[in-house]
Amino acid sequence: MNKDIILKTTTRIIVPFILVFSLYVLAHGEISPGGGFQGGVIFAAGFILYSMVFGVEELYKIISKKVIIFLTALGVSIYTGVGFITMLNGGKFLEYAKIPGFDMKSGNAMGLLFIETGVFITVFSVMLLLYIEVAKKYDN
Amino acid sequence: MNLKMNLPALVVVFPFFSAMMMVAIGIFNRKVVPYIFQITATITAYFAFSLLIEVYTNGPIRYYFGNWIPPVGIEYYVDYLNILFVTIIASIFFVMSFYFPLSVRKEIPESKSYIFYSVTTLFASGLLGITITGDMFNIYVFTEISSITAYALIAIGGNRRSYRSSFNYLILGTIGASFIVLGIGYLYMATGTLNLLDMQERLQHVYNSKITISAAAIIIVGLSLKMALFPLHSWLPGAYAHSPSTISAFMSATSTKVMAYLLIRFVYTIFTPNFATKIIPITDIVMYISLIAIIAGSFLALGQKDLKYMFAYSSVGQIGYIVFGAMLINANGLIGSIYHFLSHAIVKGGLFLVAGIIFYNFTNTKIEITNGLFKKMPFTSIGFLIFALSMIGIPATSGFISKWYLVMGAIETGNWIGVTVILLSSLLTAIYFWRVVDRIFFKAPDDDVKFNEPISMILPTYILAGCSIYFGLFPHQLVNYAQKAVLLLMETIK
Repeated sequence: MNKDIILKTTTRIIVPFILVFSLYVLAHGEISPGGGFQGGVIFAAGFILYSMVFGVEELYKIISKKVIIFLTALGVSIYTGVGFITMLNGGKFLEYAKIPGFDMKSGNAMGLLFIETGVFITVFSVMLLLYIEVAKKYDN
Repeated sequence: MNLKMNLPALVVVFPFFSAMMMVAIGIFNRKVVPYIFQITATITAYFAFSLLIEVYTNGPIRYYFGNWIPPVGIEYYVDYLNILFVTIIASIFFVMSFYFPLSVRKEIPESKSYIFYSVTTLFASGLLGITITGDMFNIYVFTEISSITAYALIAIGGNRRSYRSSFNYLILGTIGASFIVLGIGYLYMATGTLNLLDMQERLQHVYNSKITISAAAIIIVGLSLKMALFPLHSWLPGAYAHSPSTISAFMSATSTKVMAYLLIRFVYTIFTPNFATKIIPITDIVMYISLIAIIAGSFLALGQKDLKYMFAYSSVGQIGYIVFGAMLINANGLIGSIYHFLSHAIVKGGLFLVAGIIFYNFTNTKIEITNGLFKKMPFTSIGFLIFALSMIGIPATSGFISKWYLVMGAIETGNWIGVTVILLSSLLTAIYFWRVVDRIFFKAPDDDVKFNEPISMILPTYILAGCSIYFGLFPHQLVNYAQKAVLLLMETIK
């Protein structure tokens, strides 16, 4: 499977589109179907496809396991971090209108995007981590 | 930042955030994680105590998340009842955090230790979330957070038995959680709201609906499974006996009690006693089951050969006391129940800490190795004695006060079976604890080896022992607090 040229070429072409599409799903989360979770899964699917064709070792060259574990924690921290910022600014937890530099309307739109980004990062890295843990068993 | 206003959110979100930080930092530097853990526990306890003071001076707090007004938004509802539980969980977490480093170094593989600290903190924040939230679906979500972390924490011990008991708990816990969410779904169907106080009001018009009745039945079964009420207790002994000693101590002190709190919350605040006694006899049924649990737990503990198993089965019996007091629908019974929550959290947590110190030295907790333990580990033995006396309910310990109120409640409602059962079970408790006390203090040791009792492990044990004696000698203030909570709960009867 590793030597199949069609598979390799198709993957090379298709992976960038998958990644870009996932960002689109993330950005349109609050007005159309989609959001951080779905975007994160699609983003991870791109990486998973890549490593299924080229092997897990190739994946590690792009992103190491340490970084993936770090990202799982980082995503949730971004989510709660937004909540802390609104609290520090005199609001309640996740009161988007109180994000510094935003008013009621833009704050609600942007705040949602911020926390969805956190969800995106965590879901992406957890999906990848699950894949790696399973793939490790079958790799050798 | 307005710290006072945001306390209800902070007490849950802060440990949650810090659990994530532990992973993010621990992946690069494992050595600092125990310190972060310690600081987290301290600050969480500080938040909980400030919240306690705040609630008792200014009355119940309703905290709206993101400033969305309920029932649209999610709220945290802190009243006199759950602030007690929040404070107990946070302070037990704080006291035990001193105990963690040595025990973890002994029992957890070094590469997993930072994950262990993180998951423990997540577990604590899940429990705090269950108690503090005022939203039905939030209750379910936090239940899942605390259960899933609990499965992981039990399995992290790494021997075959801990995997097996973790899996056992996973299956039964998931069934329990799905019962709870199914019941919540039914309630949502009947009322169209998820907010606790809103639901209480709207439910009054649909008491006779079949949906409400089946929701009540389903939720009670789910909660009984989660709190290990006999005969649904089969996951508990393995889970307590084969998990790391720190986790068995923390879990036994908090997790099943939180589910008992939810039972009180559901029966008193959401369904209200009018429904639970008149439409369908939930309280009667659960009360008799709890009496069976008290007796069965004590008998099962009588025959155990391992300290941890003995404590676990005795937990099954003790949950019976808490449920029994709550199901009497009587002020004194409920005070007894709340007091027993505290007393049992302190005492059972302490007993598992003692078992942890024994495990630290012997790497097992069989009862036969405790022969002449007093000569080898005097401090541990005395701690064990204090906790044992409190479990039995000797005056001047907290166990006495809670049993006193429970018996008073039972007498006031004319429940003489209950009185008999409580007294009989105290006798049984005395028998199975004295079996061990006798070995520890009066049998000759097998050898002369001296064992070390690290100060960081002895200190939390003695703090808990001190608390047990303090609340046994000066119960006045806490009873006052409990009375306030009970008055608020009983308002719904009128």
